[in-house]
Amino acid sequence: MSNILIFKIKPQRLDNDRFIKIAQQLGIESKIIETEDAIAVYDSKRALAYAQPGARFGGFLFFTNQTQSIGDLDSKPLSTEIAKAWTEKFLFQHHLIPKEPREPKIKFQLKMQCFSNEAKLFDGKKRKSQWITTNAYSQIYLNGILVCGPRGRVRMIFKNNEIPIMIHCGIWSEIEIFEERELIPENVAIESLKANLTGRKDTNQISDISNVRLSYFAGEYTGGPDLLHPYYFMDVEFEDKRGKKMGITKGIKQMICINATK
Amino acid sequence: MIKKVGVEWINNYDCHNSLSYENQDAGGFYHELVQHDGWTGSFIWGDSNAWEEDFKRPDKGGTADKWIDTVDFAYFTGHGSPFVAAYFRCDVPDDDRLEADNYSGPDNGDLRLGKNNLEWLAFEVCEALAFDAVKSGINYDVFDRWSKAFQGLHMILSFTTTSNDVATPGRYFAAFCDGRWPSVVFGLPEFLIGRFPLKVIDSWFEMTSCVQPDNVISAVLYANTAGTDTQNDYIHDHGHVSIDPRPGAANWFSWTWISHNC
Repeated sequence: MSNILIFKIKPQRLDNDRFIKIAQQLGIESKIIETEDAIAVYDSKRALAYAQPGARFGGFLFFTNQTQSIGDLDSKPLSTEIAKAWTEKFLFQHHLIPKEPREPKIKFQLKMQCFSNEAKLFDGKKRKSQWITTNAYSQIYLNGILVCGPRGRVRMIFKNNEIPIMIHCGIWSEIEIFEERELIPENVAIESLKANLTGRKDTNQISDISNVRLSYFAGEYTGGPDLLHPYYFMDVEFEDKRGKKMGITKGIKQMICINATK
Repeated sequence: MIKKVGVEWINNYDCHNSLSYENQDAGGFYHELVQHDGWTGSFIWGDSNAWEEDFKRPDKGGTADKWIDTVDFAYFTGHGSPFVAAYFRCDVPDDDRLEADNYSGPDNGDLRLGKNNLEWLAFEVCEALAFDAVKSGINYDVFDRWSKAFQGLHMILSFTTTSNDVATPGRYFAAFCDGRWPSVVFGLPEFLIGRFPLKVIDSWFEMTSCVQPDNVISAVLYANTAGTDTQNDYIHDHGHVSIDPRPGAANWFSWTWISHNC
């Protein structure tokens, strides 16, 4: 049996000056609205908000620019290289990347990736693809395990301008070890799930379990220590006899999330 | 103008695996719009009261003209799959599945919507907008399955992958649409900040980033014809709403599918 770390995170408190600098870079120069929970600013087309520590989404920076629509097809999106460079510079410049963990047992890794997102179009006869946005997204790892969830991800959506039309940046500032617990092995977690679901009168037979991934989930803060806890996320497929008769071999899928520690 | 919302949800399936939070999910959407944005709540049906025939076209024996197609915005949450936008209980009229075209026949899909009123239809379910889906060895893409549903309907919002069963999607989605997200997501008092509505597409994508783990992909399918721009839709009273895209109203009609990595 191996152990896994449970982490305690602390988002940063963003003061007025730093928030104004971010707003200015994104082109908003209006009056700041601030409470203990959050800080925000908006003009007629753009809005920026940050949830302070202790708030439900503590550490979450959100920006939207409504002058363009994600669904607009008439623009040529930005190159992935420019989008990636802008994203990395933005995060670094505004100190939105977590501080280096003090404890050597914590290995933090943030990878930014970029891709051109294409829309699929159909005119009743032909299908075609068209680039629609350039998207930057993070992959955050703690000791090699993916961190996911609204307060553990960076997402940026660019159109044809260097400044994105949408930013979702949810990340902590400081991290420490809260405790170490025994990790439930993946096969044990799967068998336990199967045992729980098999034989229930309202449950069809499980035909497949796939896409099993161990991840820390940085969800909403609900009080007490702000913890990053590991879960197994998996896609469970249930047999669908009627669908099978129609020639559909795949059953009805459901994502199930189970605690990965004892 | 009277703007109407209707929602249906299922937790307690009798012939599929049960879910846990769909009442809160759909209820959150409904109550946000009804209590905070002046919408008329037409119906909120759950479990045994949520019927497949409420969505089904009248020429197949359904009553969509009396239910779903009488509201402006409809929201369903429960199970779904690429060929079935929504699964219901097996003891309700008239069956347990809202089928796509090419499921039981090329033109036998249950959805023909927007002839009367419906503009936006959200299926907070797994996989309904998966781009490709195979039946009897033949691939049917999202256009083969759902394009005929658009008879004035502006867009369908859903997922291409599985999605986690959580309580908050409906409320957050509605709050991004009606502009109350600074209060609902960030905790800023509405009297201080006011409202900042997002387009319907932006609202759906950002909501999914706020609630889902990684590996989940949300998607939107929207229709357009001459003179329409549904991709720019806000909900009523919060910005531009395209006129309805009616098949046959011009010499072209198109559907666009776009996706978003949560």
